[in-house]
Amino acid sequence: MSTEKKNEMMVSRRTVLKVGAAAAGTAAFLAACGTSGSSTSPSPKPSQSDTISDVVNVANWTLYIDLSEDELARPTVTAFETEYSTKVNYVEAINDNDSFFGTIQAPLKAGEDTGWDIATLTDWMAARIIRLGWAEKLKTAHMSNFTANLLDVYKGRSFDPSVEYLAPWAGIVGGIAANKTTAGFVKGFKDLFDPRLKGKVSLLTEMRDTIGLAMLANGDDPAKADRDSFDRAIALIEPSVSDGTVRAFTGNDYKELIVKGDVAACVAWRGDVVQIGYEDANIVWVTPTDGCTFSSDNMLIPLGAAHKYTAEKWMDWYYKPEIAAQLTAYVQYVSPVKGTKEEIAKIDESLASDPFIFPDAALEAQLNVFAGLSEDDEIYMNDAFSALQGN
Amino acid sequence: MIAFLRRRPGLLPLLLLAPAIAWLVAFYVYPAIQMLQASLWSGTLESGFAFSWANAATYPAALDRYSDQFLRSILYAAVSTVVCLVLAFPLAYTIAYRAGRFRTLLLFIVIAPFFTSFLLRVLAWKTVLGDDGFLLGPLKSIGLLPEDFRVLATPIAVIFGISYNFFPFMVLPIYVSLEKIDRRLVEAAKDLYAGPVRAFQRITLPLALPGVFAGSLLVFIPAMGDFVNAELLGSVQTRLIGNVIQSRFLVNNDYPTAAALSFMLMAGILAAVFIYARVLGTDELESGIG
Repeated sequence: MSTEKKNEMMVSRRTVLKVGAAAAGTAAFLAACGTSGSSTSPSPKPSQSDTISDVVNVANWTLYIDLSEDELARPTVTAFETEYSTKVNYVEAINDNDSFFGTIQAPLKAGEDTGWDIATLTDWMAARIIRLGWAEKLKTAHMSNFTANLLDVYKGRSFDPSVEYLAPWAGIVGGIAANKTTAGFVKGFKDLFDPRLKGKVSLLTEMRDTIGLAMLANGDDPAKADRDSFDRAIALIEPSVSDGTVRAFTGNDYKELIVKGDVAACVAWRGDVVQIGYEDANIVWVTPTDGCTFSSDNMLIPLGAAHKYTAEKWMDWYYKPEIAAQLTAYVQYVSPVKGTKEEIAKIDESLASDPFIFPDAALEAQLNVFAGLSEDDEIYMNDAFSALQGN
Repeated sequence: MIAFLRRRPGLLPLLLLAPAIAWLVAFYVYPAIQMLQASLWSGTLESGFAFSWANAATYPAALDRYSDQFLRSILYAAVSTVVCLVLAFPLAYTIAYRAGRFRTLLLFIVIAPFFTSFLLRVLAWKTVLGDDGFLLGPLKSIGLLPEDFRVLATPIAVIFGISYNFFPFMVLPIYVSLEKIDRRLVEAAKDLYAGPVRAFQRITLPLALPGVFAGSLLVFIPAMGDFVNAELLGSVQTRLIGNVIQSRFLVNNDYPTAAALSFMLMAGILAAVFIYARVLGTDELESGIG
């Protein structure tokens, strides 16, 4: 055995997370140090009774829930609380997938409750969590609406082929938001790098959206993304990052930047832009001439969640067509629920024919899903994308 | 117990030090050792990590790749320290000698920002300094500033944020040093025909130096590792080493590089403090902090 081999020892993921946590912060450090045992697979909490809990903790993205007129209440959440006599701790805790994952990985690895009963994560991140064994299997016997009303297109996805872990929350179309006054000329991704927009552009920290749009602008297909097409996309963006045209890479917080005027145009998600438009009619959605990205956010129950049964009921709640319609009419993302179209027509007939909520063939032709990546390619791309952001 | 300690008086200091030593071991030494260990791993989150001394190559590789961010951190921390010093000394002097019955109020004002969260303070500045915010917006509308002028997403905003947030750490030690000075020494200097400037140069300033040294350390050290100001007030061009460490740990799950960078940052700061203390004398530092 070589000296190197002798020195080499496998380090459990638990130890990995202990160290990550130690440097990330005392609280997380304590959480990690509180673990014991040598198994690399955390064990779920045993006591998950089939009764409604007093509270259910939901982590979601901003601009992803319906609000009342005065924006002080969330009608579908309140209705759930009334129906099940529980309290929903609904927190807009997710700004981007990576940063949220950073906050839950230590307890997940340690086999401890993350504090969340529901986390809403994009396909690729949800797939990673399933691969790591960090998601609870759904007990679909508790979820009659979900079983009946999940659209067929969401069944058989490679990362959850038997629909055991994920309940899609919404489909997301990625494109561009622009201020009509200062960036009205923006029609495609490359227009973001116009000198007139110097220092007034933001891109998303979600690699698949930003790079996906860049690939489309280069004439590459994100569904066939490889290192070559990725490098070409980086090469397209990099000069505008270096010269300061790109001001920031953001998560969902691009909303504040564009509303305040710090940013005139940005890569954005279509439903967000509609909602931002309620606040400032100058901010409009631009469907990039080269096409849009498409992905889904999915509700999952992190392993060891304390209130699994209530979480399943929460998921199921949003698969009632009338609730899904109420939600979709406000957030205007693509609904994954059968029967939403008929129900939404009762609220606003025009929404039932909105292709960005119920994509038609013409829009579907413009939507592009990013390729599934091997771990090596994902590391390669994430690393270069981080470098693009100065990290 | 008391009788036992009377028989062994040498144990008393150790007993008194025990809680602090336990704290340091648990929250400094142990994490530092783990961090050192992690820096020598290779692998990925999904496949697991393996330890090998051969992975020490991570250190030069990380230093080479992130040298810009390291240098930028040193530069921004140094400039912020100087900015804090220049602003804090007159303020501390005024509070110590000229504030009269307002002394307590002024001290309260200095520390008042600490009553709100660090993050909220930075976010507030993000709003205040916005391109069309209530500070720059009116100046642009009356033509005093060009339309494309901005403060946010520039090095100035980051240095300003760091200086603002760590300012009290400079004011308070200097104030303590100034307040401890026996004013009869200044009176004596004046009796010996020293003017106010000369008395300040020969009496006040030298005796206040321990506070300046302590304040400089208290500002420089956290400023070196700061990432919040760069994240919220800066841009891609103003990334600091703290941003890189945060990103490598929590976004890229690249624990070895993140740990190596953290360790180098910690070692670098310790070395700088050691040299600083050796050059200036630890007595000065202790009296400044005390």
